[in-house]
Amino acid sequence: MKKRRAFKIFYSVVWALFLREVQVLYGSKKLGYLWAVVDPMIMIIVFSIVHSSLMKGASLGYDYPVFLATGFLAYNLFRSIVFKSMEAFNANRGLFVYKQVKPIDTIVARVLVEVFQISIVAMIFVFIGWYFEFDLRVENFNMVVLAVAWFVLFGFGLGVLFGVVGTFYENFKKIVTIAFMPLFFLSALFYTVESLPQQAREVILFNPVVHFIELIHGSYFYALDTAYVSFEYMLYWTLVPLFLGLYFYRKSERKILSI
Amino acid sequence: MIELRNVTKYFTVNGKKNYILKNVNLTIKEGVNVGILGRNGAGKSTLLRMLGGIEFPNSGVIYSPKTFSWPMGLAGGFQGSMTARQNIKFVCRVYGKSEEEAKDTIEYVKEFAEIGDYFDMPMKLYSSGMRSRVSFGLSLAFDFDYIISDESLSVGDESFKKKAKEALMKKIESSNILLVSHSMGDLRKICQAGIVLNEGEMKFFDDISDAIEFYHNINRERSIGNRSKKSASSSIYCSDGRVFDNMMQAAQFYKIRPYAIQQAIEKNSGSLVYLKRVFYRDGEKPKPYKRWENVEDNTLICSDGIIFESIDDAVSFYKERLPKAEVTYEDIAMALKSENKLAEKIFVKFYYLKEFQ
Repeated sequence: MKKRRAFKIFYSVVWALFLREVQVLYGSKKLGYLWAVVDPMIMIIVFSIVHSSLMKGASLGYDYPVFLATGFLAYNLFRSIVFKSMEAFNANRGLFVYKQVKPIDTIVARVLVEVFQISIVAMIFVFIGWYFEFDLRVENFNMVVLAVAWFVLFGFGLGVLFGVVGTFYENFKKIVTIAFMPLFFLSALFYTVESLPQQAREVILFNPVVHFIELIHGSYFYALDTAYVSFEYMLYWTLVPLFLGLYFYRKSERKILSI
Repeated sequence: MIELRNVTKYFTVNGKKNYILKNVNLTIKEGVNVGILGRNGAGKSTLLRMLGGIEFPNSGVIYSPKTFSWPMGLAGGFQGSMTARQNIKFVCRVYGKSEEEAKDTIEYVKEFAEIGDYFDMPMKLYSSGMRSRVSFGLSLAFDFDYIISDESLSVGDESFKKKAKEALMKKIESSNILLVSHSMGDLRKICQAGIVLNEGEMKFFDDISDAIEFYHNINRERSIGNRSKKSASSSIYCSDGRVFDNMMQAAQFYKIRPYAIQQAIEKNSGSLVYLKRVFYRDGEKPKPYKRWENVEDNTLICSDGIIFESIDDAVSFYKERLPKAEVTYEDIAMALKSENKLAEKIFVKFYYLKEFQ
């Protein structure tokens, strides 16, 4: 067996894992793919109806369903990255007999699968939006891409940290699951920070997810801006979990392998 | 070459450290096939996985410049919703094989496994025999310096076993093997050196025959030790309402060995599987009947009531109790295979406990 360079091994393992996960998704639950489209679709329809009955035709300067779609898709991506990463070690335990497969590779592969999957869903949404003649124009496309990529990195860092800690403390995962429950309502997904009263605004800005969603919304829509986004705050929230996660991972990689 | 330097490995059970290796220093020379022996739970598989670099010691270093296989014949790395072809492709990708090489590997495994159309069906539809055919073939399709194998020679039906063994023998002409097995015959045939694990101590033997003899001695001492531990004189109650003055009387009545009753009381809270009755001592409370807990593929039950972890256990037991009968491994293996299950030298029948319960 010939020796290979570390990066080459990493690359081929992640690629193999990626294809495997996609195959499993296709093979066992075709509904899984469908659900990735249907779930945000239902949300968008429900919230749009509620919203239009409340607003009674007042103009926002942007299409509310598009606003919902961008927020929900980004949030779903983030959420599933965190949860899939958290479970990656357990789900792939059988593969650690292949020495090349390092636990962290399984997380990287899962993140890529999620990004791949949401990209397809986003394309379907763009097509639907175009068909129904929604206003899909993007103010700053590059910034939106950057924000989503940053959001992915944030999810990855949390996923690694939660995955490592959760390997040793099973209850920790339950706490994370519970902590995520109210996040849907507290992440500026179907409203803007601007539209909130002053006190609520101050509180909700402690939630880092709000900054990411606001950055995406503000960069996408001409009528919105990113006045409440703090890059510094986002940076802390990205780097600290990422650093801690990778540090703990390095320390306990062998333990994770042999549990 | 494999080098172990100050290697210590333990598992913590209920706050107590259970040692498998304590400060072991050892060099396994190049080109030597090593057999690993020990009772169930002695840590054979853990040692094997550590040598293969998938598990790690608590302290110390295991060093080798060689490449190691995954545990041979292992089916745990397969994804049930994927076909054998897809699963094999995955392993090829992980090990950096090119598309061309992967194609060859797939062809090889397909030919070796002989499972026909199942090869392109999801693996969750496979029988365990079909799974091991694929996984055994996959292991053979790769070239490693060391193959690590954990009891994998005892899977599948007879014809497959024969084929697998032949293929493996051919394979180890160019590779070495580290083998965990309860079959002394296989160990003798394949390995030159041996490691015996026993209660946290490891012994290395340059000659596998010495290792096997040492292992038999441990088993013998252990069964004598067990026997003298508790007095056999107190009254014995049986769940069918009968009472006996001592274990011997009870054993005579039910035509079993006294040791069977002792084994039931000590290891299975009184339930004697062969009679499906519960025994208990004077002053104890009768418990409900339960089945034997640690049933593995090799676990045997004898018509004299005793349960053995393996054929080798049975052989060393009868060698010690009935030295004149000169029971051999083959005698019991033959009994297990034949229709009437009778081992003629000692006039008892043997069954696999898995099938018996």
